[in-house]
Amino acid sequence: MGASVAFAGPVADSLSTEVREVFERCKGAVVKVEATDKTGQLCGTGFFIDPNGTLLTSYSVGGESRDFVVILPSNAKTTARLLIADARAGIAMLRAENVPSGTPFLPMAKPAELAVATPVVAVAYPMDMPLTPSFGMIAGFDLKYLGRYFATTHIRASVPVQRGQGGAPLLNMQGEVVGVIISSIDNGSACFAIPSEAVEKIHHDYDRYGAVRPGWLGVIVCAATNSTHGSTAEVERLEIDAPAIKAGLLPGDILLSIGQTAIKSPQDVLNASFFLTAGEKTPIVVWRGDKELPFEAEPAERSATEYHIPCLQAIPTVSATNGDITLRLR
Amino acid sequence: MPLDDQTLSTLLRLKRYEQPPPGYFEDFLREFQTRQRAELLRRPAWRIALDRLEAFFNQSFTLARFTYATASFAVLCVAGALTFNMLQHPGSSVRTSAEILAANAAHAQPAMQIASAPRATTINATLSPQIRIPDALLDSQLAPVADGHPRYILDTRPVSYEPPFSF
Repeated sequence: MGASVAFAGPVADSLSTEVREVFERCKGAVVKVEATDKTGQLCGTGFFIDPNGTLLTSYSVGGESRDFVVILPSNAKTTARLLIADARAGIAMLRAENVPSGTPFLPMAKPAELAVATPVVAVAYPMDMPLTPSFGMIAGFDLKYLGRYFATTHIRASVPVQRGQGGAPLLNMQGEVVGVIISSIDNGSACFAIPSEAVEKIHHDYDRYGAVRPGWLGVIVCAATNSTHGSTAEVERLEIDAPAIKAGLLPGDILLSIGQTAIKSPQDVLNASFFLTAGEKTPIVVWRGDKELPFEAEPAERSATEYHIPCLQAIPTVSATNGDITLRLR
Repeated sequence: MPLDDQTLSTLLRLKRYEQPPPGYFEDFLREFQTRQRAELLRRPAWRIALDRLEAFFNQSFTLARFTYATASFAVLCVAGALTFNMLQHPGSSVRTSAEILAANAAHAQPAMQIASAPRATTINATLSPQIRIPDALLDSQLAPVADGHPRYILDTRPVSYEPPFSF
């Protein structure tokens, strides 16, 4: 008992010092965002990502709002305008006007460095309280929650959150952004954050095209009965005149990788397809027959069709016969 | 056991001389009123108020009821007109920075309001793809906000979604 107390003291002190350092280093870049939408005034958190006043917040704060007012840590107020918003990612990007020179901004972390149990700090404005740090750790990486699939893998962090913290940065202990907080879990005991690589994809689209450009290949995937070369993602069918069929893919192909993402199951396809950008060629590797074949496809722009949230009846279910996930869902 | 006539007459004679305790009839009215008041106090205040309101309107029968109905109708009309006006004119589309700052300064004392579900119904027309979330799947966050105070935003579910397994 005495040993554990002696151990806990220095560890807690060290942790406290580190969290305080991250908070002090990053707090100048975190702002309160006020806006108006069709239901009235709203308030959330945002943070600068470059010295030009570009800031990120959650889609719920900025995606469908207007009359933005950014309250800087110095309590100075300035207006902002919406640059881009993406409901699939759950984020919005704003540009604050007349930002004082030298206003700090937060760099993005390298996604590869993230792992379960990585300590993280959220810095945000909960409700009408001042800027507040919250400490926790990465609890997992999830692709679905309560029967709904996400467009891309989300970070689940065991960081307590309150209302008003939507759009806040989730930081590693180096003060780099690993994600943007977009929702709470279970009454605020934990939260979901969109990872930095997804944020980078949206940022990249804006920089290059001025809009989000999700790519479309025209592939419908199902779960193969048996794993082939570590993958069960089988091409069920291909849309007529779609980029995938033009690239040479065939029904029955087993997907091994799309872009930089290795495919092991149909769920991985969701994650990989999020990063497709219309007009940018993407390498695809499949297993066909008894050999591995590389292809290169140029995703088309997604048509302006309606995408519906998978309803509860359309949740993939575990088959009673072989334990595989049944994925023939529309 | 049936009583014979003699036994019955004896009992009646005895009963004739039975009397209530002294002061019974004098205290009867006072005790009754005390119990009545005690019963009244056990009733909820709203019920008493309602009873008094009913009694008031019953006193001036026809004219009072007509006035009451007219007043209620007028209140409903005003509330309806205000709601319609707010829905039709949520705010001017173009505002200067000063106006925006002034408007937000007016809400310097924000109240708390749960933003509990994905707010998105339709993505801006400039976005691609255009995505529409079924309204039925949206819940309490679309509830009207009292007094125009801000909602402090943190969804309880991510807004992200995707039709499964086609890309």
